[in-house]
Amino acid sequence: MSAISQRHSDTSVHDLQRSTFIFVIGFLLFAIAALTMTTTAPIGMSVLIVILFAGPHNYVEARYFLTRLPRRLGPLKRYFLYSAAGIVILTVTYPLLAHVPDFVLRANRSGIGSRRAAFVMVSVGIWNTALIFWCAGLAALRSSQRPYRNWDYKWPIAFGVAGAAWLQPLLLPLLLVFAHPLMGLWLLDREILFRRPHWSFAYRLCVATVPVMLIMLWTLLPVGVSDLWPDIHGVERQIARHVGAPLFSPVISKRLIASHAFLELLHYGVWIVAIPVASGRVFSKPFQAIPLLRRSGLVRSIIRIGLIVGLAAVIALWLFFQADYSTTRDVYFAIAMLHVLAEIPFLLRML
Amino acid sequence: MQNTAANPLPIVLADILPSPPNIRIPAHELPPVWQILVAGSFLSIAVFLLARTLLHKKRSRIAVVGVFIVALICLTATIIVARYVFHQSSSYQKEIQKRRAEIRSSH
Repeated sequence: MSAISQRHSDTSVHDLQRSTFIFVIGFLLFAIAALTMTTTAPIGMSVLIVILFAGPHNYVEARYFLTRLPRRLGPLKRYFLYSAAGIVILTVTYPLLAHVPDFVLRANRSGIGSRRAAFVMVSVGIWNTALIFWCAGLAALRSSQRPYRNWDYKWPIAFGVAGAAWLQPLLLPLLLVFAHPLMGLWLLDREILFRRPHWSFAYRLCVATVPVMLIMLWTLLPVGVSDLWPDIHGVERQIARHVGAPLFSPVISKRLIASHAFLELLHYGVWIVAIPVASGRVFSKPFQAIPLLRRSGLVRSIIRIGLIVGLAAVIALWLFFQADYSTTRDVYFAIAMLHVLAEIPFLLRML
Repeated sequence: MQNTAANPLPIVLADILPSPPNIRIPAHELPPVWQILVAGSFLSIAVFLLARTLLHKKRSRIAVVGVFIVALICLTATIIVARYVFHQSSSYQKEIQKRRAEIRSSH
């Protein structure tokens, strides 16, 4: 009897090791392929990955977040209402930041250039401060709920980050652009820790290779003529602006684009493949994994219709990208702030 | 450009690293005074809150006094930097006005 159980245990240990090995190899091969492709063709990959994966990864994220919402909010009601309010307000105001100064200054045309720049700084600074204090408020609410957390330094950190952000307000939104892909890796880490702890150590080793790959990218990528920021046009200029190239020296614009494309591709891989596989929540049990679907008929219908609309939006996004890439990209990244912000409360709940 | 292509890393580092202190930063590249005052206020509040949290956690009193001193230094530094920036921007404005006047007189 004991021999049979011993053999069974050996088999399961062997299976665990095999699944860890497959996961590590898969992760590393994907990361190396992403590094090679984004280093070889930074602009082309930047364009292509957004067309192919932006829509599907948002759909998977929405499905995943639905599986993480409890059937009844109960004591978490305040937390999720506060999260939703912050997400909506910050997402709606984000695209307005560039337009408010034009609207305010329309009446007075004298000295419009410098005043516009000052208005942009003020509006971006206020938006940054709102974002930071929204996050600190979330941390305060989360730490007072089960499992309780001792996050006593949240307010000093929030004020410190807000102070640093006011010194150069344009840097925080840029930091979000680059840090957001890493949040997916953090969420995957938590998911692995809960669902597949035997992958955890190997996964963290894999994540440790990401900074090494970024250093390789910055060292290996040659500087070309098209690196010069003022001389680039069209989609290339749009992508360079998105990754903050005008804020830095022109010679690093291509490296910034390649770094962002690499991180973004990793992020898409994490959301479309790794999180569904690690969590087993998104596709393995199509509807049973969404607790809200066990509620009243109305809620069930709303969610089902929402999911169908989501699928239609993914297809529509592909068509819009084909029709007018430039405009669709701008609109997509303005709306995409919603999913960037939505990841924060779910990540905090998992800590 | 050729040099950069041959050895890109030193150029990149030079672009990222802040200027050494002996190089004078042009006034128009400095943030405005009000921005420094807002940033300094937030940073000072952060240090005060840190001190309060440490006190609440019953850490050593010396550490708490140290943090309060850092908060005072933050406030003082904010005022000094703001005054410096104000001075630099006024000199910059004066310089621009002087050059404009020179160009006008030459025409």
